[in-house]
Amino acid sequence: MKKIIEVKNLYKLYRVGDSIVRALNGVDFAIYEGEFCAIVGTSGSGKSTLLNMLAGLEKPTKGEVIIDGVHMETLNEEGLVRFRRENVGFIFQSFHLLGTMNALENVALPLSFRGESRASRLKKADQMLDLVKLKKHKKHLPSQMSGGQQQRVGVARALVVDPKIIFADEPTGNLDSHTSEEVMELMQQVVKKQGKTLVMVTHDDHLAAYADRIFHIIDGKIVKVEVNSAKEAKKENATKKEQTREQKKETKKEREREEERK
Amino acid sequence: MRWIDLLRMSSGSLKRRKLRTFLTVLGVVIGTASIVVMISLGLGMQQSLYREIEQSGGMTSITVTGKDVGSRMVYTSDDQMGDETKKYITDETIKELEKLEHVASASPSLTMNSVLLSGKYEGYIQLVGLTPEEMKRQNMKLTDDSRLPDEDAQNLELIFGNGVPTMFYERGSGKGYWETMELPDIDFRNDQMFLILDQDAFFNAQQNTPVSENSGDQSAQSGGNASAGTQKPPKKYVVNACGMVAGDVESYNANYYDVYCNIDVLRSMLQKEFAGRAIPGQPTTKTGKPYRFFAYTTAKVQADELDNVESLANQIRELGYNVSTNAEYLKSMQKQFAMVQALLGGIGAVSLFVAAIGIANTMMMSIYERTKEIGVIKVLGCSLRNIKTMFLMEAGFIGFIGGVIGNILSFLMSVAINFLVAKSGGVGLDGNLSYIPLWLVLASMGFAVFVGMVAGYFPALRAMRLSPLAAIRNN
Repeated sequence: MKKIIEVKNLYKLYRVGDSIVRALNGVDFAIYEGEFCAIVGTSGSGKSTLLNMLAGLEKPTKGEVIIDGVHMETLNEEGLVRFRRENVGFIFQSFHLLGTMNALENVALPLSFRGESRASRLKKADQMLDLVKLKKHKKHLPSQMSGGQQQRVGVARALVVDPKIIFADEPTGNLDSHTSEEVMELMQQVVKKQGKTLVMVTHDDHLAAYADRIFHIIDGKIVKVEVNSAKEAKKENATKKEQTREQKKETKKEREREEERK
Repeated sequence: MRWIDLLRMSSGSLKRRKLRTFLTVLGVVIGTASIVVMISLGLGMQQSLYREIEQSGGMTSITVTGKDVGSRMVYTSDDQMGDETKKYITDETIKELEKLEHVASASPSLTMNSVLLSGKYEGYIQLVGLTPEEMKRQNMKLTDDSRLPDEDAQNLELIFGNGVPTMFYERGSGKGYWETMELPDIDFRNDQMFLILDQDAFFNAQQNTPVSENSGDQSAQSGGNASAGTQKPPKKYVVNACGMVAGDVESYNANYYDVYCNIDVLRSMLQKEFAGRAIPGQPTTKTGKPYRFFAYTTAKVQADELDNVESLANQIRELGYNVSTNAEYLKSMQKQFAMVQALLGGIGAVSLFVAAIGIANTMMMSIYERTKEIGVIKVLGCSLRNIKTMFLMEAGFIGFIGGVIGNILSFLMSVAINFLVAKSGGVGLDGNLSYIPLWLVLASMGFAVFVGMVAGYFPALRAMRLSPLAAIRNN
C-alpha cells in the first residue's frame, strides 16, 4: 500500500517562560492510503500539535512531514494554504460553521476558494448533504440545527472538496455519546465508501475503536501502534447480527403464513 | 476565488452589521459631499469667469490704458495703478498700435459718467463709447428686437445693460430700486429720454433751481462759453435706445451696468457742446485749458493669435502704456481660484479623513469579531491574497456607497444653493454658483473608494496574517 503520510523524527519545542516544553519529542510513523487512523492521548500529550503539523497549521521545530510526496516543512504559508485547499478536508470539534450561511452554503464554501462556479458548488454540496442524511435541513442556519446535525454538515464540508486526506480534531468532543456514535458511524462509513484517508485525534479510547489503527501518544512520543482487531471482530459481529435478524424475519414471515393458513 | 464570490462575501458581512455599516458610510457621505460641494463652488465661480472673459472679447483681447481719462465707476485693473504712465491714448496711439505686428485691430473706447432723465426718474449711468466694429466684437446677448446702433446715425443711439434700470432714482424722494425693490416705470425701448453729458453743470443747476420738466428742449442753447461762475443749465440731448442686453435685472453679465453708444457720435457731441472749454474728464493744461488732442479711456487691441498676446502686450508696454490682457487676467484669477479651491477642498478633505479613520476602526472591529471565521476559512484553504482582497473590498465598498450617496447629496445641495442664490440675487455672478461636472462626480467617487481601501489596508493585512490556529482552538 502507498504511504500517503510519512513523519520522520518530528520535534516541536515550545518555550514557556524559562523552560522548554517538548510537545513532540521525536515522532516517526506512516499512514497508508485509505486508512482510518486514530491518534489517542490525554490532553497535553501532543496529539493536537501533531495534527496541526500534519495539516500544515504549525511549523515543526525539527523533522520532516511528507504528505503525498510533498515536504510540508518546506512550504511557505501561501503554499500550505494551497496544499490544504487541494488535498485536505477538515472536521472541527466545535464544527466552525459560518453562522450567516445555511447548511448548503457552508458545505459549498471550500469549493468557492477553488474558484468553482456557484451552480456547480451548490450541486456538489447538495449531493454531499444527501450523503450525510441531511436532506431536510439544507436551508437551515447552523443555529437552527442540533450539534449532531451541525457536525454532519461539517463532515459534508470536509468531503465536498474530494480530498485525499481528512483531518478530524476531536470531531465528537461537543456531542453526547449517542450522537457521537451516529457521527462516528457516518464518518467511518462515508470514508470507507469513498476511499479517503482519515486521521482523527481523540482522547476517547472508545471512539478510537472505530479506527483501523490506533496511535497512542504520551508526552510527545508514540508509545504504541495498535492494529484494531476488535474492529474486525465487531464487523463480523455486525454481519452475524444482520444474518440472524434476517433469519428471524424469515421465521416471522413463515409463522404469519402459517397463521394465515389457519 | 472568483470575484463574484469575493464580492458576495464582502457585501454579506457588511449586510450583517447594518447599523455599523450605516454609521461608517455616513461618515464617508459627509466627507464626500463636503468635498464635492466645496469644489463645485470654486468651479461655478471659475465658469462664470470664463463666460465673462468670452463676453469681453475673448482671450486675444488686450486692453491698453494711458493716463487716466474719462470717468469710470468701476475700476477693473487696479493692479495697473502702480506704474502710472504719462501718455494719453489718442488717435495717434490707435494708429501706432494698428501698425504693430500681430495686431488684428485696435479701437478706442471712452467711458464717462452721465445722467439720463426719463419721466420722473433720473439715472446715473456709465456711458461707454465704442466703435461699431468693437461693439460687434463684444458679442453682447441682446433681446430679440434689439439692433446695434446705426453707424451713420447722427443721434446718439444707446444700448442698455440689463442692470441699468436699477440705477434710476425717483426724483424728489430719491428712492431707487435697491430701496423699494421695484423697477422704475420706464419703457427703455420707447420712452423719451434725455442725456446730460455735463454732470457738473447738471448738479449745479439742481442745487440752485429745482429742475423743471421742460420737455422738448432740443433747441437749447449750445454750450457756448459757460464758465464756472454762470449757472447755465446743461444741454440735454434727446436719445433713444436701439437695444437692450437680454436678461432681467437678476441675471448678471459683463454688460450688466453699462450703456453703450457709438464713440464717434459721442465725441463729436462732446466737442460741439464743450467747444473751447475742457470736456469733463479730458486732460487739461495746468491753467485749465484743453489740449488739442482728444484722449480716450482705453484702446482695445485684438491680437491675431493667442500665442502672440503676451509678446504683443509687452511690446505695447514698452511704448509706455499700461496693458492688461484677458489672458493675464485669467492667469491671475486661475491662481486665485486654485487657492480658493484648494482651501475649500481641504476643508472637505479633513472630513473625509475623519471618515477614513472611521472606516479603519470599523474594519478592525470586524476583524476582531471574525477572528475565528477568518481562521476557519484559512484552514479550509482560502488563500491569503483572497482574504486580503475580501477585506479591502469591504472597506472599498463602504467608500463606494458613501461616495454614491455623498454625490447624490451634493447634487441636492448644489441645486438648493443655486436656487437660494438665484432667489436672493445680486451676488455679481453670471450663472450658477455651484457647478458639478461629470469628472468631479467620478473623481470624488474614485477618491472615496480609494480612501476606503487605504483605510482598510492595514486591517486587511492584519486579517491576512491571523493564525489559522486561532480557529481550531476550541472556543
